[in-house]
Amino acid sequence: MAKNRVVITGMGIYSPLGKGLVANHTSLYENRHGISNISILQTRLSDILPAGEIKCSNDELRAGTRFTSKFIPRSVLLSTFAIEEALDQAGLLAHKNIDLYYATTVGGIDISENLVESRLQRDEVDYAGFQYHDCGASSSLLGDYYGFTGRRYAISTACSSSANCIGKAAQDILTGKSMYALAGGADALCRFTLNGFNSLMILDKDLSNPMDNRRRGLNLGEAAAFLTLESETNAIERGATILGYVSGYGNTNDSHHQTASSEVGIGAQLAMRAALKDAGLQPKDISYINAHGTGTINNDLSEGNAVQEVFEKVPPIASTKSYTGHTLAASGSVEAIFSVLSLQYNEVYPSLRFGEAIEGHRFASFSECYSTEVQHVLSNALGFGGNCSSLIFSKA
Amino acid sequence: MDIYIAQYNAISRYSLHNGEIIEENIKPEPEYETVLDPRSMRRLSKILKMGLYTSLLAIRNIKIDGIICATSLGCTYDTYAFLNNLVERKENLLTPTPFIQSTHNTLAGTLGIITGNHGYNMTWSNRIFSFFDALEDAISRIMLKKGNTFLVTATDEMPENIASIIQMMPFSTTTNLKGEGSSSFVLSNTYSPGILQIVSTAIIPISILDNYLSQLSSSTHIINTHPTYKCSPSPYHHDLIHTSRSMIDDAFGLCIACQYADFLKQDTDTPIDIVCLSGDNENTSLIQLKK
Amino acid sequence: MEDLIQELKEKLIAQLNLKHLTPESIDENEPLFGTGLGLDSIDALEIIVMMENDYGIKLDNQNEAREVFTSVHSIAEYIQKHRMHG
Repeated sequence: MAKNRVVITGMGIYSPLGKGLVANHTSLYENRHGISNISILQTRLSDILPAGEIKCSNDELRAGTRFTSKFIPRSVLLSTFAIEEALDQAGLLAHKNIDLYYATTVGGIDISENLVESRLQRDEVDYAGFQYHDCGASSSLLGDYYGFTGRRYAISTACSSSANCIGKAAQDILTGKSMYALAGGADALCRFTLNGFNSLMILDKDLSNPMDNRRRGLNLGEAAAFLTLESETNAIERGATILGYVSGYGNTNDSHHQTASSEVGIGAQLAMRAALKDAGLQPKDISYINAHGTGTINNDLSEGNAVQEVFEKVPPIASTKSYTGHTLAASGSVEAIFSVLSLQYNEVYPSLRFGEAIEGHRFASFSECYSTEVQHVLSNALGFGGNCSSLIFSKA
Repeated sequence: MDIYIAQYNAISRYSLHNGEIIEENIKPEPEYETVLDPRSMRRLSKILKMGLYTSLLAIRNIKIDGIICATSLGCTYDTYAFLNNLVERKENLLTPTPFIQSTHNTLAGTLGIITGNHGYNMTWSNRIFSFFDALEDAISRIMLKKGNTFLVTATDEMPENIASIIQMMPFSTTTNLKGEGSSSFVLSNTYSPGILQIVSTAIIPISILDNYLSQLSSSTHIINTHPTYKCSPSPYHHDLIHTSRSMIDDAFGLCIACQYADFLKQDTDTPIDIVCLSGDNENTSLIQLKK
Repeated sequence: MEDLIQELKEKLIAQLNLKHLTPESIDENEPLFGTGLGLDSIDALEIIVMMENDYGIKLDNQNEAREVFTSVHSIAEYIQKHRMHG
């Protein structure tokens, strides 16, 4: 009996490259990034640090939803658009028995941080605003908003969060625990993360240079991205269009340092190998690697070391964070969608502004989008806490 | 299913004395230095110290294949400390330590470093269902043969600043101001005589809970941490929650169930059935156990 | 210089949460990173913040911190030197 497989039948995204799949694909294809000076978020750092900011205020975002409260987190507002696009593409807009696998690192902190500031300055505070601070609140809000009757989950493993949502949802589809899964996540720019990363001295004051020897750090970004997953049998039975397969997942821990990766990238190596084994594939089967590639000195060196340990011949490898910035918890699902677009269009997306290979690496990234046969894409998501996840997507 | 609780440990306000479940107001903190390295302890917030303590004790002499953590509010002390710093210093260069330790997966990551474990590492943060989701995740990993033994640790902390914010919120929340502590369990597929078995887990609508419970044998013990549902009066039924409650109480409930099973088994050879019951206003979570 | 060294020891104990130490127990020439006091990369970042906030000295990255700040004495020397040119 053929092994049942997990298929992607819908995708939705709202990122610094634009609203929706078409806008995002066009930007990717045209080598156009979405990183700019911060203008929506009110922060002292707006003059110093470029970011992948979505040029829409919370009021504007909210106006496009049925939400009315000004306390609804920005990441939830972004999610509504992305979820609707994914469900629509999958033909599941009217369907309620959906299990939501939601990822976020800071949940509603964009709201809480302003309330804490008022509290510390002894200004008037509407304490009702704290009710959406935690991760689970976002999952709950969105589940209620769509009237989902399935399970609602919230995973928070830093930058690998939404990759883990996709991996976990895929496993639940295979075991039959879930019939329809909506997996992905969102994070919004906020002073907390901007200042947090700044205190670690890993932010770039210019446009970042991931995978490049001259790299100086990362640009932050914000996004919401979701995929609908189901079994292949179910998709065929109901006549849904299959966009691609989730064919492999690996989750490991680097076990080295809270905010830095080991030099050899042992966690990343193990995650990639686990994903390959899960998919029943060899390294040579991978057509393109969408790297985690934040642009920090540590990550790109370590991840590259891990890649060349696993891949005797390294396939085209690049970081699309050069387009969007690092969208934190959303990065796994954003880059999952970019990986599926790569499969659909037979294109590989570059590390924009790439010029010089990293010393010690025997491979080099590339700087412009080009066409090539793409069968399987490997996507890495490596987070704080040593959380390493790898996903493999395959052509439909 | 062949899933067992091999070892467990907790810093909990609930304890068992001669078969009676006692709830204390505040659980005194243990001497962390007996388990944690004093030098690396210096930075750690309470939630991390508690979580590391119960986890390291629970996994003593056991090789684990993965680490799964649960927290409903995360590392609130460090989150607040960093925000405080941000406001005070008007976003000028800030000290990084509270930020580094503010992410929800700090405990799981730190455990990975201390144990050198490269295996599966996950953090669930889904309000009151965080612990239940983590437990089901561990069970699922074992059933899928992705490992034999997994650590599941639930933690939450309630620093004063956070408690005072919650008290100022205008409507009741599901967060208990006492919601602080840590509870760790090692799940394994290895049977040994006298070990507590997890028979099943389920989430069912609260509307059918009465019907479900009526089908259990009258000698099934129920450890209840549901915020509003009260069991029918019986010497076998134990309602633990008397005011509001939080996620960590579910983990405490399972810990009490483990201790209770140990206690009861001293006097009998007949199998003991226990159900841990929890949830919210719409759904109930059930963990069925057997010793 | 003596006062600065004493001040630095007190600040390091406070900033880095070295509660188990007293200023008297820290040797001004003892290595800070790796061996000796056994500080790590997170401590290096904390020291950079302290240098900027308390002494107005900007450092570019944590590697610079680890190279320059080998002991309490070397930190004191660095501060004195850069204060004069500040």
